[in-house]
Amino acid sequence: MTKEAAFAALYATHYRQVRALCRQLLGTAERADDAAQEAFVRAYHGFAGYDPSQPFGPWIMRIARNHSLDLLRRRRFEPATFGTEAEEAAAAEADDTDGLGELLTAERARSVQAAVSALPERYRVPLALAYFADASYDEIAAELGITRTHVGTLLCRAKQALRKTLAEETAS
Amino acid sequence: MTCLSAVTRSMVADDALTPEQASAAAEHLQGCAACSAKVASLRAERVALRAALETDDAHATIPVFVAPARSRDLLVLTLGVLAVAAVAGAFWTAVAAKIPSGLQWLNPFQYGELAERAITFTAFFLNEGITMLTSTLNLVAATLAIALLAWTTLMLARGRGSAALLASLLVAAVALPRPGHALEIRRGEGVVTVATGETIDDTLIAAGQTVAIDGTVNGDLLAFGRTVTIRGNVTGNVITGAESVTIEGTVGGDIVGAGRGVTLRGTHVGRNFFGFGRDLDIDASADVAGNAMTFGETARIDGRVGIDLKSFGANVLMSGNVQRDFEAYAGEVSVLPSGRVGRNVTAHIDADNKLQVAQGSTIGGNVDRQIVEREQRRNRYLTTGFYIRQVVRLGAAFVTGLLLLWAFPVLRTLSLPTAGAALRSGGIGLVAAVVMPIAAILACITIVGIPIGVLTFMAGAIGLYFAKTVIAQMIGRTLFQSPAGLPHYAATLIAGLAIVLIAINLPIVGGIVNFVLTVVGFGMIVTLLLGRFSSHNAAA
Repeated sequence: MTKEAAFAALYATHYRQVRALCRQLLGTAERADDAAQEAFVRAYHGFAGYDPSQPFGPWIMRIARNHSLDLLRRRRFEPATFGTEAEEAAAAEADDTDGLGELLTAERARSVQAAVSALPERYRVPLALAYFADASYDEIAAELGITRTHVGTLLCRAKQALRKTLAEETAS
Repeated sequence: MTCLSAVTRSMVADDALTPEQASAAAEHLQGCAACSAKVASLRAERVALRAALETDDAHATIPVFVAPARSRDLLVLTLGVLAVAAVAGAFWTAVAAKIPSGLQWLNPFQYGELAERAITFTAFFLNEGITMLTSTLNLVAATLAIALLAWTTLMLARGRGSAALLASLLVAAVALPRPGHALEIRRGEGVVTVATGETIDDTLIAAGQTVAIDGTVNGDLLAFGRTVTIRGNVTGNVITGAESVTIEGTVGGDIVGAGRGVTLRGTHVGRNFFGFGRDLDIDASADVAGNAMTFGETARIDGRVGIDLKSFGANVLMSGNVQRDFEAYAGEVSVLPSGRVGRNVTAHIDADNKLQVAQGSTIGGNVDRQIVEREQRRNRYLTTGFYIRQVVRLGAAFVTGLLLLWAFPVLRTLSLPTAGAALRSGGIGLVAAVVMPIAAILACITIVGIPIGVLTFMAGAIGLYFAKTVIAQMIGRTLFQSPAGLPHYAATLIAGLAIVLIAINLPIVGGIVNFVLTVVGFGMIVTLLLGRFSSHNAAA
């Protein structure tokens, strides 16, 4: 199989997942389309150095994640974007909603994804990194330049905001 | 017993606490049913959230992957671009050969001169033309406001009638700049006249096959037709466009006249004269109290100009009386024996002998021959000035390029993935570069179109200036391309600009490289804008 054919097959398999990650990190479909394409272009350039015995998925997801975070940084995304830990923690304690648990059924996946995209950047980015890109708290803290507990606070707030949106949607 | 905080519960559910924190939390959870239930719910939520986020949209289409250019593509691209450039270059050379040298500044690829003209214009307006500009802008603003009135009326008429009427009256009240200065419109298929002895105390808009103003207009006059003749008096400004424009009466304000032939005969102009056309003639009996500017193939100035005279054209013949400076950008300039210039004569010409100052003419100051740059390029690589200029140019392009890429991040990632895309961009760029100035000039034929025309022209000039920046950024990105990511766009930009600057200064091929890069870059910008525009429309 030629390099082009091999790459095309991998592209077809992984495109949706890569695009979904970009969408969750960047917030809009247009930016996600561009970022996903760029991630694959970068992977294509580095394909010669890629070890086929390693899974392609994590590799391309890492490229897409780095590229999306680069794009966010270029848009003046900086630690201040994430607010202060104390303020976020106070807000987190003021909200006493329970986890949605089983209410997040597979049928609601579309609504959940839309609600994530609509979250403010300071909640959306850690949420996507933690629950979609499987990044640890330490990794997220390092990527975003904030503390580990700040990551925990933002994730707590992100889920609270998500619950609120989904509850409003259910009510309406 | 204090319950776990919301954040701690969330971190427990994510297994994200440190071992010490985790054991303390576990101890609490053993004794607290409420917290245990909440944590269990959060764990279930986490699993469900992950599953929801990972759910594929099986129906979503996967766009075709466009592989980046390979060396083979690059070869095809280079050959293709060179072929297009050769055809385009031949085309443009043929077109340029037909343009009189004095009008070469209209050529969109002569940036240096274009920029020089723009600076001269600006300086001129700042020094002398402010009053003229202000009054013209007033007029344009009034016309725009009237157009707004018409539009508002139309829009509102679809809705509520009374609101439409009210809004129209309101806009009309605001639109007309001077109280008591109403607007009169006269139009017809044949002859439109203001007869001798007739007086109009309004701004008059006259349009017809033949427009003849023999009476008095106490206001501004806008006249358009095949033939426009003004023998009467106009106290305000005159803006006119016709195949043939003849002004013989008295005009209190400015005259902006455009036509194949524009003639001032026995006219007294209270302020400035701006003439655009093939043949422009300020007769010996004409008197312009302010500045005069002519843009045309042939300009003949026999009358008096109260301040400065500036002429752009192939042939400029001056036998009149210019009180201050006379400056010409032209193929040939002649100051005839009866010509008088109060101060300096400056001619921007190809060669020394293209300015003839006849014996018997009177020049109060100096005669300055500015030989245009293209005649001085022969040994440019041997001069230090050339390299200093290039460094300055690189610096300027870098700073403006940085600003551009900062303001429009989308331009940082533009690329030409295939040879076909480059050819398409080149074609679009060429068409746009040729069509935009023409469209701008056509737009300027109507008063309402002037701002649109000026904007189009400026947008085109800005686009052409930045075309090579876009190409430079693309080259820089290609240079630094690696899976690890790209450096800051400033680094890719400066590297790309350095390469572009060297390429466009190469002997023999530099010109064609410049042309190709400009056209392709301009095409990329135009394509991007068109894409955005159509996707915006589609979204709307």
